[in-house]
Amino acid sequence: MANAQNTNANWQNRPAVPSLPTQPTVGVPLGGQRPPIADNMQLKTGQSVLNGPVPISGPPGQPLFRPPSSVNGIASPSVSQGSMQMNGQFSGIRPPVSSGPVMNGPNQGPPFQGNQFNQPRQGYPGSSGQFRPDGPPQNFRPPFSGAPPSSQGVFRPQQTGGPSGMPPMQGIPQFSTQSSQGGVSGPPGVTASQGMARPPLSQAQQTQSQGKTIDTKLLLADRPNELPVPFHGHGQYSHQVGMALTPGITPANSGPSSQRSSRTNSPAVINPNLDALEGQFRGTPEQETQPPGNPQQQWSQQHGLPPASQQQDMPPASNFPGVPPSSQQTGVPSWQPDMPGLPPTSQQTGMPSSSQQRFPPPPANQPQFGVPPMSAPNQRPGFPPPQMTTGQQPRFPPTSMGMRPGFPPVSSTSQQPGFPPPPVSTNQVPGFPPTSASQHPRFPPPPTTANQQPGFQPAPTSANQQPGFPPPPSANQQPGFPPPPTSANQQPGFRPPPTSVSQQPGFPPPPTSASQQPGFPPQPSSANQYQGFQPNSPLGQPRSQPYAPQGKTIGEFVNTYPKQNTGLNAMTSNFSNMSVQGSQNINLLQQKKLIPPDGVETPKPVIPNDNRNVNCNPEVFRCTMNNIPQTSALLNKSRLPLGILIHPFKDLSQLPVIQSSVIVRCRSCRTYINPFVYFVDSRRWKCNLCYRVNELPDEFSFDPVSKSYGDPQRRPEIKSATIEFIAPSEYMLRPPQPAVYLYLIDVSFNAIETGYLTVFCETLLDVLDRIPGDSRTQIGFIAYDSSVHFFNLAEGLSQPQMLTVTDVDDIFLPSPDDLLVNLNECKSLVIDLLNQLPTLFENNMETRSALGAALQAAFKMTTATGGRLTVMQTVLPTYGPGALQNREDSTQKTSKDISSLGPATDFYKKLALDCSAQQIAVDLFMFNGQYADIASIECISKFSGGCVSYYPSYHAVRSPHLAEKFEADLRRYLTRKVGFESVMRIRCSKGISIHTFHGNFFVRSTDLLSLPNVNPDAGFGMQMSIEEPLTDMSTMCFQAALLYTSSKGERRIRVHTLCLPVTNQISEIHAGADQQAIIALLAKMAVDRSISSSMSDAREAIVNASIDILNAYSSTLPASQRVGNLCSNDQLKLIPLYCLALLKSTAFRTGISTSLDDRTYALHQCKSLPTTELIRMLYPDLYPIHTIMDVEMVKKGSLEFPKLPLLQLSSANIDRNGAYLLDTGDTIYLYLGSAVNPQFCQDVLDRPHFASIQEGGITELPELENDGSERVRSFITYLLDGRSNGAALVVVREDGKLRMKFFQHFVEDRTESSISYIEFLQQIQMQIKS
Amino acid sequence: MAFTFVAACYILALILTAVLIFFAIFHIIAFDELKTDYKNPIDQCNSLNPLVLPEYFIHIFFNVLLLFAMEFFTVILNIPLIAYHIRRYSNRPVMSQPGLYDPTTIMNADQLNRAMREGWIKLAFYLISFFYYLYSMIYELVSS
Repeated sequence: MANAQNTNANWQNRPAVPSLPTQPTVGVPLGGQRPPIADNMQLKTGQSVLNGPVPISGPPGQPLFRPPSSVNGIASPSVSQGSMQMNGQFSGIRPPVSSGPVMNGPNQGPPFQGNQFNQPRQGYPGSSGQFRPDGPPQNFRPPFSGAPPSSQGVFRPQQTGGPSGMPPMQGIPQFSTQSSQGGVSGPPGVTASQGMARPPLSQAQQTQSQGKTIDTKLLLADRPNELPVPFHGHGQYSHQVGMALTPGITPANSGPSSQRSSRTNSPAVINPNLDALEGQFRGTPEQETQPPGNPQQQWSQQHGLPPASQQQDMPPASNFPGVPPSSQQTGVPSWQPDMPGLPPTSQQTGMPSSSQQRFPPPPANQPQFGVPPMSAPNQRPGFPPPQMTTGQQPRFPPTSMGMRPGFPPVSSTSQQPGFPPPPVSTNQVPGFPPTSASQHPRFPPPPTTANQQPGFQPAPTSANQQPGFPPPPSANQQPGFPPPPTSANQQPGFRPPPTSVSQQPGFPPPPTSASQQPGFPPQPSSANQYQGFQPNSPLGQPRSQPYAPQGKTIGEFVNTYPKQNTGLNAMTSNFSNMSVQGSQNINLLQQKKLIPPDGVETPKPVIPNDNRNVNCNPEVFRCTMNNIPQTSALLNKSRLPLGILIHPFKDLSQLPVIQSSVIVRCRSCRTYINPFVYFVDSRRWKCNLCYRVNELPDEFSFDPVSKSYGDPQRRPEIKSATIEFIAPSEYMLRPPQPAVYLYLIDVSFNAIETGYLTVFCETLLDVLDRIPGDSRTQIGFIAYDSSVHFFNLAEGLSQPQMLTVTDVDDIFLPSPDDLLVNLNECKSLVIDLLNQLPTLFENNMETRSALGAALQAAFKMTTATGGRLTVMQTVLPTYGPGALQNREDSTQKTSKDISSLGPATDFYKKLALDCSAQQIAVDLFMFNGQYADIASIECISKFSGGCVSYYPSYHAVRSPHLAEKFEADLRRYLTRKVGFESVMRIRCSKGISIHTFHGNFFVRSTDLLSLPNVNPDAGFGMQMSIEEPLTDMSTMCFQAALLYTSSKGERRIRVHTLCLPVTNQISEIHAGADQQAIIALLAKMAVDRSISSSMSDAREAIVNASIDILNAYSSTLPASQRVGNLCSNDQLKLIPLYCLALLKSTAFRTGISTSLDDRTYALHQCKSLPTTELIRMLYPDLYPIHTIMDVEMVKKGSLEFPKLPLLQLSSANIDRNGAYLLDTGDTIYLYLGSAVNPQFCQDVLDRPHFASIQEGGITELPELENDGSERVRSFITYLLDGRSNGAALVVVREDGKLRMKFFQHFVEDRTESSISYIEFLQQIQMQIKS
Repeated sequence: MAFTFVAACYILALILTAVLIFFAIFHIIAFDELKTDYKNPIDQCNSLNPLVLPEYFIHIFFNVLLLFAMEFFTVILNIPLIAYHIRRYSNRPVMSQPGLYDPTTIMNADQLNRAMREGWIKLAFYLISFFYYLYSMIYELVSS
């Protein structure tokens, strides 16, 4: 309780505190002070700016920068404060803003700034209420929606402006703050700072501010864990901000703003919105008038600059006059002329969208092709290509043709390498030059194309093709445009009949033709075409090959992967993914090249009649099937598992963040409005999950300028399938908790022996300033062996006090108030403690570990606030509550049936559930060399939303690569984003329900997961079942909403929506299968099976799954094709390979000695890893690194790295002349053949020759100044980039001891205890026949 | 017309079966609440778990009485359910307290469906046996 009281006190006090954390930021965004929050915000903005489409150039740039700030404001309260400055200015100008008082009203949202939080807290009923996960689902009513129409009418204009919060993102916050606080000027300190910024708002000033922001960006740039900054909109938002600033806007708004404020809950937000909206509108017209060239820049210039000047000058009165009495908005009119083109809709959305739509966005892809955005029309299959473009189109049948121009080159290319069957590739090739446009200025339609194309259309996967459309965003989105271009292809009517293969007349080679055969490099024909197009392709003409052993390997590569370049491009661009080839038949028995050199592509769903290409990123949210079967009977017939895999808190580079007083949700099912809803008219929308028709709140689409209802499609909610809302107070049952971190450190004899403690303390010291949090962040430490040691870090002490409790059976807190302390206030004590810790227990001889007692104590410490417990455990806990016994039976290590995979006690599970109820998550780091019963201990993390890391036989000196990895992991762990007290709700279209959940969480109700903490590296899976036939639906949707408290104390909702087409054709189901997702889901199901039943059952189930799937596929083929063949299509061809990999993985293997802990941990990984990482764990990536000088360099972001082809995991691919890199996720093996080129050793490893290289002696590549070394290092950097964990580098010699470790990952090989891939296929074939 | 031990057993069985019917209904309601989001699975499991063993014991108890009363046919009718109960309980998840239901897995559809189905089947079984005991009791009272 004491803790709770303290926190409250903090809250209340806050406002009084002169320098609110947020405010300072605002006031002096650039200044050195930079409260952490502010920093983040700025960073974000900065990032956003950078990332944003808008070039940050020139004076117009100002707006850009500003927007970022505004963006931040939107995103976080702190930002809003930043806006304060602006407000201050305005306030002087427009005193009239009546809204201020209104806004402050109890019901309304908390005023935006720092106060926001404070108020909510006070107003809050207190923490007494239970915590409601997904917001107050049922109780919650959008404040406005409920309002009587009449009243709304009055206020609307204003609200709309501010209301929907769209605006809040940018400038809005600023305004809002003004209005909300109204007469209330910021805290004195703030004002002062504001004063600087405010006054004239002259351009010069603005520029200054910009400059400052930039600086902050740079400073902060290296911060790993930032809250997701609203990027998307950056450009857009920034514009808005600028607009908000524009004086003209303000006046107009001012009148209405007050009204709005009264209505809206969170006045601050609203007002800004209004302003922003107005600004936008004005701005928009201007933009329209201007040439399409760089909309954003124009915007920025126009809006940002002029407004500032105007604002200053404009007296409030002037503002009003401008406004025609009838409409408050009238003030705007002057601007309006400019705007004519703009649709009246929402400001924010409208702005960005408008800009894009209007002006053919200059997406990189389009320019390359040389096809202006206008080309979109061409894309539509049905439409004859209107004008332009290349003469090619006429030749092509409309459908195929249309697509090509639109195609982002990348996608097509990426696929090509992967597809063994040439025919498809050929089709694609002609259309899209694999590489960059520059190489192939034109697409010379290859002569063959015409023939091939016909084949295209019929292919069932046509739907898939769409994804490939990178519909140029602008083109697709444009409202005015006739039906979206891509739609035609996708439309049901067009869909090719199921058995496309037979249909493809144009194709010369029958599906299983020789071309596909293993030995064949991708078909020569296609290759030739490519080459023709890409004269320069590096692969084709290898430059120097210093390391290349001999011609052989290189030659192979060249032949095999002629299109690597294209692949790269493809990789870089997100667009692609269409798999045109879905219909192709593949005889697995003859198909040796399964893994495309560019990696396995992820198929994307193609939604009929929708060309916006807005579906959720498959890395975040994917389904095992991209075409959902209509009935459960059809699902059973396909034998594929139906489920979704979600990585909800993934670090995203682009995430629109919206602050709004009203979050539009379906009234009956509470679905958040998303891009896949249907707008009945401008006032109503139909929920895409439950089909209820809902009213659209006025704020959502009202255009205050024209006083009309605009196009709701411009809202970011409608334009992005992944979006983040800043939640109003309705979504909190208690004030947002502070970030609380408690570290439980094992200091028993064994722990000291491993030396992890030093690494831990040093790393924590190093990143202490970067731990996510705000001024309320609390931290504490507990050390434990057979007793529990607490550390009193109370302010005022000269050094930390250790308090030891030896009575572990009835643990109590010796000093309840001072164990968990504010990090900022007691930082010096914390640093002291961390410096002392390693030596404090240096001579500890106690071998027992009382983990249970320590956890209970930690639970008591954090129960009032919630938070994150980090446990470092090195031995089996054998003392006190939760004591465990050694269950490992060494004779079982290789046996087929493994017992003790489940927990031995429910102590940890019960404690985890208690923790979960108090919003406490437990993360576990295991370092044990001996058995420590991870199966039991992991329950503490499994059910509290934590994570588990395991470093088997960790020793700081003896296992240097593990030490490296631990340090890297820990660094990432300590600084990564954290979402506290979160819940995730998964909603599905009617007829589909969640069957089983996989991951680390507690399932609180049928669709609600309780996640005391959510971390950006956690993946989840859900099996789905079809309860009712999905007839009459052409699409169905899943929506995952993650409600969490950021480390800055903001309540946020991240919403992901995935829309998938529904089909009644089994061929389409097979064509839409996502094999990686299927395997990931199968792995999770097998884990359940192994624990609930037995390991042999699980293994059998895996084998049966792959038999069933292939059998179901081949049964759809005519008998003539399947006799003697093991048929698959491109979307299923990897199933047997991955299944075999699963059987040989640490989790499920038998015959190889595997310790119980290793296995348990691997099982846990199967459940909780995100899909891509799970697949990498099962089927590691192998690269021929000796060819690194021969491949092309590719750029991704700021990183330039060589694009190495992927090899399959077969020893046949290993040459003694070569050097290979095997990336298993946890470890990167560098394998050196005995005849490796000495030059390579010298260049990369700084060793003269192979003989001088020691295994394990190298944990890090030396930084040498030569091209080879730089390339290898940049490649490894690329591999590790964006990965959640560090990876140890292990050098393996061909004749070394680690060789076996390296080759055990070679899934396709035969070993003593396991069969080879070919044998596995034969086994499957036998089963299918019988 | 005589009040025999057999009749007494049936009367007792009748009453206890009525109790079991309430247990079954309670289970069904509880799981339905889980299915419809009204309850927290932890609370629900905490309220259900203590009832599991009493239900089993009540059922076994009157069957033992019937066995002593030489009502073998009735006992044979009940043996499958007893066997099921024993098997079910022996395969329960690791728990430190009596009970069957684990709040961490109960929300999986197969577990929930299984529990629901089990509830309905038991309800039907108890209802039928209720009337069977009633008939047997009257028959016993009348015949002797």
